[in-house]
Amino acid sequence: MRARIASGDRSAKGLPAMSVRGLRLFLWLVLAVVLPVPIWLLGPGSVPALYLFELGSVATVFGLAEGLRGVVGLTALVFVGQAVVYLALLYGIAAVIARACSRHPWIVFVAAAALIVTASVLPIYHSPYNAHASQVTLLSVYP
Amino acid sequence: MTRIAWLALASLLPLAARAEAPRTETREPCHHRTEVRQPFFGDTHVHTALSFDAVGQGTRNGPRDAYRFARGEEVGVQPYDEAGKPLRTIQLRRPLDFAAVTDHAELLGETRICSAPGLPGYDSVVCRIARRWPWLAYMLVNGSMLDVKDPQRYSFCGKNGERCVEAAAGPWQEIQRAAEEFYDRSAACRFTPFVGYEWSGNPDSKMIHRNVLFRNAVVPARPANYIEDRTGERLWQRLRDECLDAGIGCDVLVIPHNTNLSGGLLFRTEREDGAPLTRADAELRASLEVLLEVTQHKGDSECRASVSDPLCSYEKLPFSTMRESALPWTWSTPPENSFAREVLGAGLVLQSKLGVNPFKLGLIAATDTHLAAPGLVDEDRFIGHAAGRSTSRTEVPPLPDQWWFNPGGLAGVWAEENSRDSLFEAMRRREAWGTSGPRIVVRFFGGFDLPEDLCSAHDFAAQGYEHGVPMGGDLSAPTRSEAAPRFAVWAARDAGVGDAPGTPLQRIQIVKLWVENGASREQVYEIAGNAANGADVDLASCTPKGAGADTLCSTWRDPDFDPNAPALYYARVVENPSCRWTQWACNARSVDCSMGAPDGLEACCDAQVPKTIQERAWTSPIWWSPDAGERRSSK
Repeated sequence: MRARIASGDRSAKGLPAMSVRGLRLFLWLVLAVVLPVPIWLLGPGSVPALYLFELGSVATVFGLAEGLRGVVGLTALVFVGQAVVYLALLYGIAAVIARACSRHPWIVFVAAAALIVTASVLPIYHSPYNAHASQVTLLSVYP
Repeated sequence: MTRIAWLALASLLPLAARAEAPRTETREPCHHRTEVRQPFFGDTHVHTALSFDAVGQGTRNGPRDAYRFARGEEVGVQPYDEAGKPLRTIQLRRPLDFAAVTDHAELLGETRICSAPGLPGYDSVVCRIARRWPWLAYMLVNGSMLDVKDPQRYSFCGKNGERCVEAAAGPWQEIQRAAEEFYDRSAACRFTPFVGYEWSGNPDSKMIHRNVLFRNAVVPARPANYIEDRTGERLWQRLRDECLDAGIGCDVLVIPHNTNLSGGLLFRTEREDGAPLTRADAELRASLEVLLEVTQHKGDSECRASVSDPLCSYEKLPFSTMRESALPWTWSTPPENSFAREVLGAGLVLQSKLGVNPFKLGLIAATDTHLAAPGLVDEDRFIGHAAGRSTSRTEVPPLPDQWWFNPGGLAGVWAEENSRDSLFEAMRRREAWGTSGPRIVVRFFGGFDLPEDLCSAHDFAAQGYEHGVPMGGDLSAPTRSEAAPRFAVWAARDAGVGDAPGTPLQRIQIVKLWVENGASREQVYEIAGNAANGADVDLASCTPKGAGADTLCSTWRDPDFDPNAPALYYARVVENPSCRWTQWACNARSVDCSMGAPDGLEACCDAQVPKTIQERAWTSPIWWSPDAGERRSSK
């Protein structure tokens, strides 16, 4: 698991050395920040998992500032809960991909770059929670 | 018969002698005035951008825009582009005769503070969240302020909430100014706005909401609200203290709504503190709550869906609180006293015990629009009413609303003229009816001396008033030997306009409630038309098929009348089937369910979503009390 990625392949692509663990972490972060996932509850929509976490955090801040009355705590829990489930799922996916691509890390980097560019250009996210537009790009999904 | 023909006939009728409605304001008498009263249509439940939950849904139109729209003008609605230009416009096919903007009283000040840079509190956490995540704020604010038993002002409202209370004065005055500006005090009497607000108690997400309507421009300095006055009893007492008994010429009535979402709390048969109701409690309530909103955007509240009365399945919500609506696995059946029929029956039982009926309620309907769009009730042009769960703030969803909601209804009122005094008096005496949207006109009289051939009389209304009482009234004891009261119902279909003709009528029913062995009983009687007329609708084009009636009229005598049992009777007028709004929307998007439902249009292919409805009207009841006989004897 901790083995370094093959030096021959690395030098061929001119990429920095990275452990499988590092690759997994990198991929997980990219997926959490960029990959649109459906909102299960209090939707509909498809947003990054980190965005759901953001909504949960906002609800938590609201509750801390004004008291966890009524459904404020539940709302925060619903968003954070969804985010945690997705983050766990994405971690698993990242682990599988990292292991599969451990000898060809450039595939991961290229795919991640393509995903980030696509998400930055195309309005692939759909969120009723954004203030000004529902169909948004990566550059505007996080208010 | 069209409304115009009816009015022409009415103007030829001999004038029945009735007490003149007291005039409480200075205005020209209306040119069109008739003592046998005319039908007027309006909407008494309208939210604008002054309501926090409407803002959260992207509504920008205020009270002035609402009244412009009610008068027939075109207005723009959300979503808006970056320049602030609305991407949709709406317009009524026919203007309304009256309307009342009834914004939520609870967050008037908070809403103003959060939208006005420079006001103290504008930069608070709550306001920042409201501006950056409006829909999230909608959930959090509703969930922490209105859906709880012990609402507290937010910290940015300052000590004792004074900052928000003070800020509420601005919107409250804006509501009054708009009502005054659009009130036609000329003899033309084209449009009548009422000053009002909504008291929006929601303990544990159980709606005990009430609309408060003032008779004229004399109103309290500020609206009562659930944060300070947390029970209906406190609201009524405040209205007595600050309006009715204040000696300032203020007059008011209260219209509860959404019994279907009240968890049975809106019409409790005991005091809020659990103590038994007293006669004084019942009198206080009955003096203010004279009408019930029987249907609206958030479902129908007439009666519980049942096998014995299949028409009760009309527009029933699949859940019993708004909180449940977001969590389908929690959906439950509404408890007792969640529907008008149960409430009216409970009122009869209480009357037997207390001598006063605290639930003596006439029936009207409204939209509860949160788009500042009063009277927007057409099924074929429904764009949602922005009452939560489906927002069009930033985009138009494929289906404009959650499938379980509907466009709402209208209030009908029999009044001498289109003025505040005349309309308000009509509402107070409950000479009012509700429709599920179409402008069905219905008259309903009851009396022991009512002629059997009243339907063939050219002066139906004049004789109805002379020999009986209209909807909302109390039967007097018989003067002769008649053993049972007779009722007469006349109804005319909505003639519609141009490209949108109304649907023919199918039948008229009378619903009777009475007390037997201490419990409420009910029976539905078919009295006119034909339930098996074979009428249907072509789902592909939404074109009605089959025969129906332009007008229906019938007299009916109660075959099971017991003079010793308190009872009430109301009429239900039913149209032939027509397309529900969901079917119109699905047709407009050419949904082909054999290909699978497109995203956002799943309801088009969902078997539990009705494709057709039978629009209808409900009259206010006519009551019978055994006391009526005793009163006459003692006289």
